[in-house]
Amino acid sequence: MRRAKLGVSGVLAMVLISLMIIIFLISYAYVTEQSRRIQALMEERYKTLSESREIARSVSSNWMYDEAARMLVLEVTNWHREPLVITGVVTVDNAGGYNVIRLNTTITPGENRTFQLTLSYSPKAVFLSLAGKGPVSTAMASQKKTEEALAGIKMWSGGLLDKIYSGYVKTQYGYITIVNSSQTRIIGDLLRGDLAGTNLGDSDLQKIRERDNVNITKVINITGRTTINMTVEGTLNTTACVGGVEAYLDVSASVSLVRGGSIFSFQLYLYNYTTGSFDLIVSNTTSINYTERIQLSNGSYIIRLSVEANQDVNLTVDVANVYAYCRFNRTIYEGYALLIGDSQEAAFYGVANGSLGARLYSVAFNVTGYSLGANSSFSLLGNYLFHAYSDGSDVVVRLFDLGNVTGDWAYLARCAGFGPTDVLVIEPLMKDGKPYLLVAGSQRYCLADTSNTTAPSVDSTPTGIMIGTYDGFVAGVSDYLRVYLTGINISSNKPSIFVFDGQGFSESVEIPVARPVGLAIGGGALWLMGDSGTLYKINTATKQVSIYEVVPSFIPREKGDKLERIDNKLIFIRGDSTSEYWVLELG
Amino acid sequence: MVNEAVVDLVYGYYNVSEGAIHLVLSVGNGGVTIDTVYINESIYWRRGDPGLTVNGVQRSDGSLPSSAALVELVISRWISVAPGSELSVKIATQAGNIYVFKVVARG
Repeated sequence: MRRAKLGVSGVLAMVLISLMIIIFLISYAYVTEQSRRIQALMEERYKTLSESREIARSVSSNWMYDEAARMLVLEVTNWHREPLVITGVVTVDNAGGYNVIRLNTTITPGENRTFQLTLSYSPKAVFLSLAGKGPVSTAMASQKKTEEALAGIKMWSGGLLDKIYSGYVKTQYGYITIVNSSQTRIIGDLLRGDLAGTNLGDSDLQKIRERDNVNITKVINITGRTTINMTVEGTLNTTACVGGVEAYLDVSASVSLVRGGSIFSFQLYLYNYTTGSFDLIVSNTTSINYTERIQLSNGSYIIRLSVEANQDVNLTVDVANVYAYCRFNRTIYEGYALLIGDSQEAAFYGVANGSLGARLYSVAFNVTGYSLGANSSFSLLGNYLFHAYSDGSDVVVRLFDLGNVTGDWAYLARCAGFGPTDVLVIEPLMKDGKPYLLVAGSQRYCLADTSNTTAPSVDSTPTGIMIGTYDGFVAGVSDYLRVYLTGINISSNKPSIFVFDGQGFSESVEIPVARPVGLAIGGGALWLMGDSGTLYKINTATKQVSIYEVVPSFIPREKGDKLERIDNKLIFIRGDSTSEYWVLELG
Repeated sequence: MVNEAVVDLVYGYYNVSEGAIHLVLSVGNGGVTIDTVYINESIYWRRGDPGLTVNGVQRSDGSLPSSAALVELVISRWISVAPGSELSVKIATQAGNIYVFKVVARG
């Protein structure tokens, strides 16, 4: 009985174990199948999403608005391998409102299709809704078709400067004349004239004209106490000289008695054209050795050796030379130049036919501890380089005359009470026919009259306007009537360009760039580049912002203001520890 | 999760003065039924609620056109938000898919 019970229990246990194994296997198979299905669905979904993105990349579209016909002209090209359905177009107006235009049009692979859609306004942006095969759909922005886009995609081309630029870099383009006024030179060998009053003949004069030492000994007949003069006369060409003419007079002569008697004096004179008489230069009894620079009154000179004796003397002239030195202006460069500067110095590079040339000259700021864009800046106006820095309480503005590069920085004005600043930028401006400099900090500004050292008043920027960003990105440009500065509209927290018209900040343009690294002006447009490298064109009249279709070959990360428009080109200077500059031909 | 049509945002914003969110969506073939709409992770609209228009027609069941289409949704549910703020919009479909978009509030 007991064994029978054990047998039944064993069978039941085995059945139970078998059932458990079967249930486990079924569950395992179910879970595995579910996982496989979920994985398959996820893979399918990922594939669908990937295809959506691929469509967005494979379709090119641009648009333009025909004002006269009030028509949106939309061009779409399908580079995808499958047919695509355009299910609709969304146009956005300047206020942010939108219109939906529903379509149901299939575009075959490789097909280029143009749509003409009635629209009552010029849109700010145009978006397409596309559907592919199966569940695939995507949305994409259409690019505004500009004249530049019509000309095709443009490329930047690069070059190297002779210096590496790092960090905040600023550029400015202008016409300059760099002059060094301390150049000196010998005009020429100057001895010329006659030897009236002496017994020296023309042949002797020829020898005296030589610059090397001469040795002439002549007996001068003297009866009684007599003064005999030997005169040498010459004229200098001083038309190239500024600041007077300096003559180098080098005379070495002696007299000796032939046979007894006395020499009373032996003197060297220089004729003074102002007073009309001879000035005594040096006096001696028997010899004269004179080597000095002398100032000539009008470029002409007459020297006289005078001997007073009561018997015949031998006059010996070893050296009698006059060399003229004059100070003159040497023009190092005159023409258009690109100014590139960092915190330490500003360098000028020549520009010819729109191309960047060699470095012409550098001007050191000669103040240390100031960082460009943070608490110092510079600008070019006329033939002057202006530099401004904040000493913590005031902003000091100095100027450097490129017409006299041997000079130094001169004090111009002080924006008193400006206070410490997070960002400093200065830009030139003409107001009432006079040149001014706009000095702007993050929330303060002053307008310095460049012809007046009177301290200009310091004002706060209007409510809501902050120049530059919180992390120090700022770019500025001037067309001399208006100054354009990047900053933040604090009210809307939107990056903007603020326009200063000489009276105040009159206008602003919202920009799609949070960190601007360059702002240039020309051809009725502002050219703006962000740290991502995207280039924007902003119509200064309509304020319309559009992307300029280029392929950036570099990444301009560093803050600063490095973009210039020169003729029909844009030039960008990299500030990330390279010496690269990049040129974009605008066409 | 079911392999339904892909939904992509074409254009959208929250209109502060209207108290309504405007979404223009690109929807692929297969059709989609919206189950829940979240703004900043809070439920903004749920299937069955009033206040949803699809292409200008009231549709509280959340169903979108069954073929590929450009679909305009307006969902009226007032929320307190300042103009210029960025909002996260999450759409959960009946099939279990989730779509997340960013829109800006404007006044």
